[in-house]
Amino acid sequence: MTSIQELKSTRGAEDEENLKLLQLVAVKDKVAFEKLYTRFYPQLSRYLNRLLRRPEMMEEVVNDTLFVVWEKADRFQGRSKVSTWVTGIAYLKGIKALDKLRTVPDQQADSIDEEIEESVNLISKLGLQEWLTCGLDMISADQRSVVELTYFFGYSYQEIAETMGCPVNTVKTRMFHARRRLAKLLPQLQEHKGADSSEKGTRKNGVGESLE
Amino acid sequence: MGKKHENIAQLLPWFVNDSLGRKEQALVLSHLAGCPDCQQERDRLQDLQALIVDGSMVLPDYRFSFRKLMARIEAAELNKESTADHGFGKKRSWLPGFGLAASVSIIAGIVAFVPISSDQNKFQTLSTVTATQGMSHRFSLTFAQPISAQTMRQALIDTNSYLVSGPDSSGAYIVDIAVPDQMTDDEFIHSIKTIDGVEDAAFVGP
Ligand SMILES: [Zn+2]
Repeated sequence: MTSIQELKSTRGAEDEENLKLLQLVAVKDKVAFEKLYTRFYPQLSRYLNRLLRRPEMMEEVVNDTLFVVWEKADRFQGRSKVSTWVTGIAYLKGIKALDKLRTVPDQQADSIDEEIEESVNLISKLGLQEWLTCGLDMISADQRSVVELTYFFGYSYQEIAETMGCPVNTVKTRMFHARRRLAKLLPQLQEHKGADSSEKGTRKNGVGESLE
Repeated sequence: MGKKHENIAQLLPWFVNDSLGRKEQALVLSHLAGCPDCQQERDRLQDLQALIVDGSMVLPDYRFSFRKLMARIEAAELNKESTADHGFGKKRSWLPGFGLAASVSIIAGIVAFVPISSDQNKFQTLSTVTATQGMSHRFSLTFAQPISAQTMRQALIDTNSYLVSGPDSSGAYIVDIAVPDQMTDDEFIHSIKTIDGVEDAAFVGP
Protein backbone atom coordinates (compact mmCIF):
# COMPACT_ATOMS: atom_id res chain seq x y z
CA MET A 1 0.00 0.00 0.00
CA THR A 2 1.21 3.53 -0.74
CA SER A 3 2.12 5.43 2.41
CA ILE A 4 -0.21 8.21 3.55
CA GLN A 5 2.66 10.69 3.41
CA GLU A 6 3.43 9.73 -0.18
CA LEU A 7 -0.21 10.05 -1.17
CA LYS A 8 -0.58 13.39 0.60
CA SER A 9 2.55 14.90 -0.94
CA THR A 10 1.35 13.87 -4.43
CA ARG A 11 -2.01 15.49 -3.73
CA GLY A 12 -0.26 18.57 -2.34
CA ALA A 13 1.88 18.98 -5.46
CA GLU A 14 -1.18 18.52 -7.68
CA ASP A 15 -3.07 21.19 -5.82
CA GLU A 16 -0.17 23.60 -6.09
CA GLU A 17 -0.20 23.15 -9.86
CA ASN A 18 -4.00 23.57 -9.90
CA LEU A 19 -3.65 26.79 -7.96
CA LYS A 20 -1.09 28.19 -10.42
CA LEU A 21 -3.40 27.36 -13.32
CA LEU A 22 -6.42 28.83 -11.56
CA GLN A 23 -4.56 32.11 -10.99
CA LEU A 24 -3.92 32.30 -14.73
CA VAL A 25 -7.55 31.44 -15.46
CA ALA A 26 -8.54 34.34 -13.19
CA VAL A 27 -6.89 36.68 -15.74
CA LYS A 28 -8.68 34.82 -18.56
CA ASP A 29 -5.75 32.77 -19.86
CA LYS A 30 -7.40 30.25 -22.17
CA VAL A 31 -4.36 28.00 -22.54
CA ALA A 32 -4.21 27.62 -18.74
CA PHE A 33 -7.95 26.97 -18.72
CA GLU A 34 -7.57 24.14 -21.21
CA LYS A 35 -4.88 22.60 -18.98
CA LEU A 36 -7.10 22.93 -15.94
CA TYR A 37 -10.00 21.46 -17.91
CA THR A 38 -7.87 18.47 -18.91
CA ARG A 39 -6.89 17.90 -15.28
CA PHE A 40 -10.43 18.01 -13.93
CA TYR A 41 -12.35 16.42 -16.80
CA PRO A 42 -11.72 12.77 -15.81
CA GLN A 43 -12.45 13.16 -12.12
CA LEU A 44 -15.50 15.40 -12.59
CA SER A 45 -16.90 13.03 -15.20
CA ARG A 46 -16.38 10.12 -12.87
CA TYR A 47 -17.89 11.90 -9.88
CA LEU A 48 -20.90 13.26 -11.77
CA ASN A 49 -21.49 9.96 -13.49
CA ARG A 50 -21.87 8.38 -10.06
CA LEU A 51 -23.86 11.24 -8.60
CA LEU A 52 -26.29 11.64 -11.50
CA ARG A 53 -26.56 8.02 -12.69
CA ARG A 54 -27.35 9.53 -16.09
CA PRO A 55 -24.44 9.45 -18.53
CA GLU A 56 -26.31 11.64 -21.00
CA MET A 57 -26.34 14.51 -18.49
CA MET A 58 -22.73 14.15 -17.44
CA GLU A 59 -21.02 16.28 -20.07
CA GLU A 60 -23.42 19.18 -19.66
CA VAL A 61 -22.96 19.30 -15.89
CA VAL A 62 -19.15 18.96 -16.21
CA ASN A 63 -19.26 22.00 -18.49
CA ASP A 64 -21.68 23.87 -16.20
CA THR A 65 -19.14 23.32 -13.43
CA LEU A 66 -16.11 24.45 -15.41
CA PHE A 67 -18.03 27.42 -16.78
CA VAL A 68 -18.41 28.61 -13.19
CA VAL A 69 -14.70 27.95 -12.62
CA TRP A 70 -13.89 30.16 -15.63
CA GLU A 71 -16.25 32.92 -14.51
CA LYS A 72 -15.38 32.89 -10.79
CA ALA A 73 -11.71 31.93 -10.76
CA ASP A 74 -10.78 35.43 -9.57
CA ARG A 75 -13.01 34.98 -6.51
CA PHE A 76 -11.25 31.84 -5.26
CA GLN A 77 -9.97 32.73 -1.80
CA GLY A 78 -7.60 29.83 -1.27
CA ARG A 79 -9.34 28.74 1.94
CA SER A 80 -9.70 25.21 0.59
CA LYS A 81 -7.91 23.09 -1.98
CA VAL A 82 -8.72 23.94 -5.60
CA SER A 83 -9.99 20.38 -6.11
CA THR A 84 -12.36 20.67 -3.13
CA TRP A 85 -13.67 23.97 -4.47
CA VAL A 86 -14.22 22.60 -7.98
CA THR A 87 -15.81 19.37 -6.73
CA GLY A 88 -18.09 21.45 -4.50
CA ILE A 89 -19.31 23.38 -7.54
CA ALA A 90 -19.85 20.08 -9.36
CA TYR A 91 -21.89 18.79 -6.43
CA LEU A 92 -24.16 21.87 -6.45
CA LYS A 93 -24.59 21.75 -10.22
CA GLY A 94 -25.29 18.01 -10.08
CA ILE A 95 -27.94 18.36 -7.38
CA LYS A 96 -29.51 21.23 -9.30
CA ALA A 97 -29.67 19.10 -12.45
CA LEU A 98 -31.26 16.25 -10.48
CA ASP A 99 -33.78 18.63 -8.91
CA LYS A 100 -34.90 19.58 -12.39
CA LEU A 101 -35.60 15.93 -13.08
CA ARG A 102 -37.39 15.58 -9.72
CA THR A 103 -35.61 12.35 -8.83
CA VAL A 104 -35.80 10.64 -5.43
CA PRO A 105 -34.73 13.13 -2.78
CA ASP A 106 -33.12 12.18 0.55
CA GLN A 107 -36.34 12.04 2.55
CA GLN A 108 -38.00 9.53 0.25
CA ALA A 109 -35.04 7.21 0.19
CA ASP A 110 -36.41 5.13 3.11
CA SER A 111 -39.24 3.86 0.95
CA ILE A 112 -36.65 2.14 -1.21
CA ASP A 113 -35.95 -0.46 1.48
CA GLU A 114 -38.62 -2.83 0.15
CA GLU A 115 -37.26 -2.43 -3.33
CA ILE A 116 -33.87 -3.49 -2.04
CA GLU A 117 -35.27 -6.73 -0.63
CA GLU A 118 -36.80 -7.55 -4.00
CA SER A 119 -33.58 -6.79 -5.80
CA VAL A 120 -31.32 -8.97 -3.67
CA ASN A 121 -32.31 -12.14 -5.49
CA LEU A 122 -31.85 -10.55 -8.88
CA ILE A 123 -28.54 -8.98 -7.95
CA SER A 124 -27.12 -12.29 -6.78
CA LYS A 125 -27.12 -13.34 -10.42
CA LEU A 126 -25.19 -10.28 -11.60
CA GLY A 127 -21.50 -9.51 -11.81
CA LEU A 128 -19.78 -7.39 -9.19
CA GLN A 129 -19.92 -4.13 -11.12
CA GLU A 130 -23.61 -4.62 -11.89
CA TRP A 131 -24.13 -5.33 -8.22
CA LEU A 132 -22.49 -2.05 -7.37
CA THR A 133 -24.51 -0.15 -9.97
CA CYS A 134 -27.76 -1.54 -8.53
CA GLY A 135 -26.62 -0.84 -4.99
CA LEU A 136 -25.74 2.76 -5.78
CA ASP A 137 -29.05 3.24 -7.58
CA MET A 138 -30.77 2.48 -4.30
CA ILE A 139 -29.21 5.21 -2.24
CA SER A 140 -29.82 8.94 -2.51
CA ALA A 141 -27.64 11.31 -4.55
CA ASP A 142 -26.22 12.87 -1.37
CA GLN A 143 -25.32 9.44 -0.04
CA ARG A 144 -23.73 8.45 -3.36
CA SER A 145 -21.70 11.62 -3.27
CA VAL A 146 -20.33 10.77 0.18
CA VAL A 147 -19.58 7.18 -0.87
CA GLU A 148 -17.79 8.23 -4.05
CA LEU A 149 -15.80 11.04 -2.45
CA THR A 150 -14.70 8.68 0.30
CA TYR A 151 -13.85 5.51 -1.56
CA PHE A 152 -12.77 6.77 -4.95
CA PHE A 153 -11.40 10.22 -4.20
CA GLY A 154 -10.03 9.36 -0.77
CA TYR A 155 -11.44 12.52 0.82
CA SER A 156 -11.52 12.89 4.61
CA TYR A 157 -14.95 13.47 6.16
CA GLN A 158 -13.93 17.08 6.83
CA GLU A 159 -13.11 17.60 3.14
CA ILE A 160 -16.43 16.04 2.15
CA ALA A 161 -18.28 18.39 4.51
CA GLU A 162 -16.49 21.32 2.88
CA THR A 163 -17.22 20.05 -0.63
CA MET A 164 -20.91 19.43 0.05
CA GLY A 165 -21.37 22.49 2.25
CA CYS A 166 -22.75 20.63 5.25
CA PRO A 167 -21.67 19.80 8.85
CA VAL A 168 -19.34 16.81 9.38
CA ASN A 169 -22.08 15.04 11.32
CA THR A 170 -24.30 15.15 8.27
CA VAL A 171 -21.53 13.50 6.26
CA LYS A 172 -21.25 10.75 8.87
CA THR A 173 -25.02 10.28 8.96
CA ARG A 174 -25.25 10.06 5.17
CA MET A 175 -22.46 7.49 5.14
CA PHE A 176 -24.20 5.56 7.91
CA HIS A 177 -27.44 5.31 5.93
CA ALA A 178 -25.61 4.45 2.71
CA ARG A 179 -23.73 1.65 4.48
CA ARG A 180 -26.92 0.34 6.03
CA ARG A 181 -28.57 0.06 2.64
CA LEU A 182 -25.52 -1.31 0.85
CA ALA A 183 -24.96 -3.81 3.69
CA LYS A 184 -28.15 -5.59 2.65
CA LEU A 185 -26.39 -6.35 -0.59
CA LEU A 186 -22.89 -6.80 0.81
CA PRO A 187 -23.20 -10.52 1.56
CA GLN A 188 -23.47 -10.95 -2.20
CA LEU A 189 -20.08 -9.31 -2.49
CA GLN A 190 -18.50 -11.98 -0.30
CA GLU A 191 -20.04 -14.76 -2.41
CA HIS A 192 -18.79 -13.20 -5.63
CA LYS A 193 -15.30 -12.61 -4.36
CA GLY A 194 -13.84 -16.03 -5.13
CA ALA A 195 -15.48 -16.42 -8.53
CA ASP A 196 -14.63 -12.94 -9.72
CA SER A 197 -11.04 -12.59 -8.60
CA SER A 198 -9.51 -14.18 -11.71
CA GLU A 199 -11.42 -11.81 -14.00
CA LYS A 200 -10.53 -8.84 -11.80
CA GLY A 201 -6.81 -9.42 -12.32
CA THR A 202 -7.05 -8.71 -16.02
CA ARG A 203 -9.31 -5.69 -15.72
CA LYS A 204 -7.89 -2.24 -16.25
CA ASN A 205 -8.44 0.44 -13.69
CA GLY A 206 -9.72 3.01 -16.17
CA VAL A 207 -10.31 6.44 -14.68
CA GLY A 208 -8.81 5.32 -11.39
CA GLU A 209 -5.42 5.09 -13.02
CA SER A 210 -5.59 8.42 -14.75
CA LEU A 211 -6.22 10.08 -11.42
CA GLU A 212 -3.08 8.77 -9.77
CA MET B 1 -18.29 -1.39 23.64
CA GLY B 2 -21.63 0.40 23.22
CA LYS B 3 -21.20 4.08 22.46
CA LYS B 4 -17.50 3.74 21.71
CA HIS B 5 -18.10 0.89 19.29
CA GLU B 6 -20.70 3.00 17.46
CA ASN B 7 -18.43 6.00 17.23
CA ILE B 8 -15.54 3.95 15.95
CA ALA B 9 -17.72 2.03 13.50
CA GLN B 10 -18.81 5.37 12.06
CA LEU B 11 -15.19 6.28 11.32
CA LEU B 12 -14.32 3.02 9.54
CA PRO B 13 -14.89 4.26 5.95
CA TRP B 14 -12.28 6.96 6.51
CA PHE B 15 -9.99 4.54 8.28
CA VAL B 16 -10.20 2.38 5.17
CA ASN B 17 -9.42 5.31 2.84
CA ASP B 18 -6.46 6.41 5.01
CA SER B 19 -7.74 9.94 5.59
CA LEU B 20 -8.19 9.99 9.38
CA GLY B 21 -6.04 12.23 11.54
CA ARG B 22 -3.38 10.55 13.65
CA LYS B 23 -5.41 10.65 16.85
CA GLU B 24 -8.54 9.09 15.36
CA GLN B 25 -6.49 6.55 13.48
CA ALA B 26 -4.86 5.41 16.72
CA LEU B 27 -8.29 5.20 18.39
CA VAL B 28 -9.67 3.03 15.60
CA LEU B 29 -6.62 0.77 15.61
CA SER B 30 -6.78 0.11 19.33
CA HIS B 31 -10.54 -0.58 19.15
CA LEU B 32 -10.16 -2.87 16.14
CA ALA B 33 -7.73 -5.10 18.04
CA GLY B 34 -10.52 -6.14 20.42
CA CYS B 35 -13.67 -5.91 18.27
CA PRO B 36 -14.38 -8.74 15.78
CA ASP B 37 -17.50 -6.93 14.52
CA CYS B 38 -15.52 -3.88 13.51
CA GLN B 39 -12.80 -6.09 11.98
CA GLN B 40 -15.41 -7.77 9.81
CA GLU B 41 -16.93 -4.42 8.84
CA ARG B 42 -13.49 -3.05 7.96
CA ASP B 43 -12.90 -6.03 5.65
CA ARG B 44 -16.25 -5.49 3.97
CA LEU B 45 -15.57 -1.81 3.46
CA GLN B 46 -12.16 -2.59 1.99
CA ASP B 47 -13.87 -4.91 -0.50
CA LEU B 48 -16.39 -2.21 -1.29
CA GLN B 49 -13.64 0.34 -1.84
CA ALA B 50 -11.75 -2.03 -4.15
CA LEU B 51 -14.93 -2.54 -6.15
CA ILE B 52 -15.63 1.18 -6.43
CA VAL B 53 -12.06 2.00 -7.48
CA ASP B 54 -12.11 -0.84 -10.00
CA GLY B 55 -15.19 0.47 -11.79
CA SER B 56 -13.73 1.63 -15.08
CA MET B 57 -15.47 4.24 -17.17
CA VAL B 58 -14.93 5.00 -20.82
CA LEU B 59 -14.56 8.73 -21.14
CA PRO B 60 -15.42 10.60 -24.31
CA ASP B 61 -12.63 12.71 -25.81
CA TYR B 62 -12.39 15.80 -23.62
CA ARG B 63 -11.61 18.03 -26.60
CA PHE B 64 -15.11 17.83 -28.00
CA SER B 65 -16.60 18.85 -24.64
CA PHE B 66 -13.98 21.54 -24.20
CA ARG B 67 -14.80 23.05 -27.57
CA LYS B 68 -18.46 23.20 -26.61
CA LEU B 69 -17.62 24.98 -23.38
CA MET B 70 -15.30 27.45 -25.13
CA ALA B 71 -18.07 28.27 -27.60
CA ARG B 72 -20.33 28.98 -24.62
CA ILE B 73 -17.68 31.14 -22.98
CA GLU B 74 -17.08 33.07 -26.21
CA ALA B 75 -20.82 33.67 -26.48
CA ALA B 76 -20.99 34.91 -22.89
CA GLU B 77 -18.01 37.21 -23.44
CA LEU B 78 -19.46 38.58 -26.61
CA ASN B 79 -22.73 39.20 -24.86
CA LYS B 80 -20.93 41.16 -22.14
CA GLU B 81 -18.97 43.19 -24.71
CA SER B 82 -22.00 43.99 -26.81
CA THR B 83 -24.00 45.12 -23.77
CA ALA B 84 -21.11 47.36 -22.77
CA ASP B 85 -20.53 48.72 -26.28
CA HIS B 86 -24.05 49.31 -27.46
CA GLY B 87 -26.14 49.63 -24.36
CA PHE B 88 -29.02 47.40 -23.40
CA GLY B 89 -31.65 46.67 -26.00
CA LYS B 90 -29.77 48.15 -28.94
CA LYS B 91 -29.29 46.00 -31.98
CA ARG B 92 -25.73 45.20 -32.96
CA SER B 93 -24.58 46.32 -36.37
CA TRP B 94 -22.45 43.74 -38.12
CA LEU B 95 -18.96 44.82 -38.93
CA PRO B 96 -17.70 44.43 -42.48
CA GLY B 97 -15.89 41.13 -42.76
CA PHE B 98 -18.43 39.27 -40.70
CA GLY B 99 -19.74 37.55 -43.79
CA LEU B 100 -16.27 36.30 -44.61
CA ALA B 101 -15.48 35.10 -41.09
CA ALA B 102 -18.91 33.47 -40.92
CA SER B 103 -18.39 31.70 -44.22
CA VAL B 104 -15.13 30.25 -42.92
CA SER B 105 -16.88 29.00 -39.83
CA ILE B 106 -19.86 27.65 -41.73
CA ILE B 107 -17.61 25.87 -44.21
CA ALA B 108 -15.64 24.55 -41.25
CA GLY B 109 -18.86 23.28 -39.71
CA ILE B 110 -20.02 21.68 -42.92
CA VAL B 111 -16.79 20.01 -43.88
CA ALA B 112 -16.44 18.82 -40.34
CA PHE B 113 -19.62 16.86 -40.89
CA VAL B 114 -19.30 15.52 -44.40
CA PRO B 115 -16.22 14.93 -46.51
CA ILE B 116 -15.88 17.32 -49.41
CA SER B 117 -18.59 16.38 -51.82
CA SER B 118 -19.70 17.60 -55.19
CA ASP B 119 -23.31 17.48 -54.03
CA GLN B 120 -24.17 21.12 -53.31
CA ASN B 121 -27.58 20.28 -51.86
CA LYS B 122 -26.03 18.16 -49.20
CA PHE B 123 -24.02 21.16 -48.02
CA GLN B 124 -27.11 23.33 -47.82
CA THR B 125 -29.16 20.89 -45.80
CA LEU B 126 -26.33 20.44 -43.32
CA SER B 127 -25.58 24.11 -42.91
CA THR B 128 -27.99 24.44 -39.99
CA VAL B 129 -26.27 21.75 -37.97
CA THR B 130 -24.04 23.47 -35.46
CA ALA B 131 -22.33 20.75 -33.44
CA THR B 132 -19.20 19.29 -34.95
CA GLN B 133 -17.64 15.89 -34.41
CA GLY B 134 -14.05 14.94 -35.02
CA MET B 135 -10.63 15.78 -33.68
CA SER B 136 -9.96 19.40 -32.94
CA HIS B 137 -6.91 20.85 -34.66
CA ARG B 138 -5.28 24.21 -34.44
CA PHE B 139 -5.04 26.36 -37.54
CA SER B 140 -3.79 29.80 -38.40
CA LEU B 141 -5.93 31.87 -40.72
CA THR B 142 -5.17 35.11 -42.54
CA PHE B 143 -7.56 37.24 -44.52
CA ALA B 144 -7.10 39.68 -47.37
CA GLN B 145 -9.08 42.32 -45.44
CA PRO B 146 -8.63 42.81 -41.68
CA ILE B 147 -11.36 41.20 -39.57
CA SER B 148 -11.97 42.17 -35.93
CA ALA B 149 -11.59 39.63 -33.12
CA GLN B 150 -15.19 40.20 -32.10
CA THR B 151 -16.46 39.36 -35.58
CA MET B 152 -14.26 36.29 -35.73
CA ARG B 153 -15.46 35.09 -32.36
CA GLN B 154 -19.12 35.55 -33.21
CA ALA B 155 -18.70 33.63 -36.45
CA LEU B 156 -16.92 30.74 -34.77
CA ILE B 157 -19.51 30.25 -32.02
CA ASP B 158 -21.97 28.58 -34.37
CA THR B 159 -19.66 25.71 -35.19
CA ASN B 160 -18.29 25.02 -31.72
CA SER B 161 -14.94 26.18 -33.01
CA TYR B 162 -13.13 28.75 -31.00
CA LEU B 163 -10.65 31.54 -31.19
CA VAL B 164 -7.39 30.78 -29.42
CA SER B 165 -5.60 34.05 -30.15
CA GLY B 166 -5.29 36.86 -32.65
CA PRO B 167 -5.15 38.89 -34.64
CA ASP B 168 -1.35 39.16 -34.44
CA SER B 169 0.58 41.98 -36.14
CA SER B 170 0.08 40.36 -39.53
CA GLY B 171 -3.66 39.92 -38.94
CA ALA B 172 -3.42 36.15 -38.44
CA TYR B 173 -5.79 34.26 -36.14
CA ILE B 174 -5.21 30.97 -34.34
CA VAL B 175 -8.40 28.92 -34.15
CA ASP B 176 -9.38 25.43 -33.01
CA ILE B 177 -11.62 23.67 -35.52
CA ALA B 178 -12.93 20.10 -35.62
CA VAL B 179 -11.62 18.07 -38.52
CA PRO B 180 -13.58 14.92 -39.37
CA ASP B 181 -11.83 11.57 -39.17
CA GLN B 182 -12.40 10.97 -42.88
CA MET B 183 -10.45 14.08 -43.89
CA THR B 184 -6.78 14.86 -43.78
CA ASP B 185 -5.60 18.24 -42.53
CA ASP B 186 -4.45 19.08 -46.06
CA GLU B 187 -7.90 18.44 -47.52
CA PHE B 188 -9.42 20.53 -44.79
CA ILE B 189 -7.01 23.41 -45.31
CA HIS B 190 -7.66 23.25 -49.04
CA SER B 191 -11.40 23.67 -48.46
CA ILE B 192 -10.81 26.75 -46.30
CA LYS B 193 -8.35 28.27 -48.77
CA THR B 194 -10.90 28.11 -51.57
CA ILE B 195 -13.10 30.68 -49.80
CA ASP B 196 -12.88 34.13 -51.38
CA GLY B 197 -11.04 36.57 -49.13
CA VAL B 198 -9.08 33.93 -47.24
CA GLU B 199 -5.43 34.67 -47.88
CA ASP B 200 -3.85 31.74 -46.10
CA ALA B 201 -4.69 28.79 -43.85
CA ALA B 202 -2.13 26.54 -42.19
CA PHE B 203 -2.05 23.65 -39.75
CA VAL B 204 -0.46 24.70 -36.46
CA GLY B 205 -0.87 21.63 -34.24
CA PRO B 206 -3.24 19.01 -32.88
ZN1 LIG C 1 -16.42 -2.27 17.32
